[in-house]
Amino acid sequence: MFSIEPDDGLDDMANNRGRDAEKDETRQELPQGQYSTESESDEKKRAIRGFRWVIVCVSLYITCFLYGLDTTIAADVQGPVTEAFGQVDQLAWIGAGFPLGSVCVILLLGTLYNSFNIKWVFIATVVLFEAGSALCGGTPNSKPFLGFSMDHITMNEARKLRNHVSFPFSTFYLRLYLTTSQ
Amino acid sequence: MNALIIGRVIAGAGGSGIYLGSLQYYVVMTEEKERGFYMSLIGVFWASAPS
Repeated sequence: MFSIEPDDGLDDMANNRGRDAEKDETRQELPQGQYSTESESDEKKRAIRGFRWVIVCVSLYITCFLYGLDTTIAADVQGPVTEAFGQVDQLAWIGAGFPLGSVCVILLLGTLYNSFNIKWVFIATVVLFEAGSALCGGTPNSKPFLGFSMDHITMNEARKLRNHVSFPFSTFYLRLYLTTSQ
Repeated sequence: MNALIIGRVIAGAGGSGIYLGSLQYYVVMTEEKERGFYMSLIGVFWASAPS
């Protein structure tokens, strides 16, 4: 145990194990509250580190970026949407529908995240988000040559981003990469 | 136009799930000391999207 060579992990583990055994002996004399807090502070250590953690962070932040982009894109596309569809009276629903849809399911989703596996609920919501965006992009136009919907703008932004970012930029595949790397 | 509005509602439902899911992921994966930093960065990226 007292070797001059650098630790290779096994020695460290043996040290820790010995220390834990000592702690367990002393803990029996401590009151209940101190025992629980001490054991919690020992356990909380991040499992994913290094490059994998960077990938996890980047993919999560990109999905949040896309959500923010779709929240606020309604103000920018009012002109082209009016030009394409010509229904000014329904224009406010494009801006209001997105937060309304968000607020309707937010409590349900909180319960789902508590009940089920985070990975699959997250993938399901990303698929739902992409399906809604695809439905926006596939809206039939009255004037097909003039009009373009807001999803085309979002996809163009994504394409521009993909040119700047070197790794494959697709939220779904990034999510798959994250969940499989876990 | 109606399909566009319905698509926006569906995308909004999925989007709130994305936001909640990333919050939940950072709660699960980070230590207690660094949790505030990562969760506030979610808000930074969300708000930097329109600019």
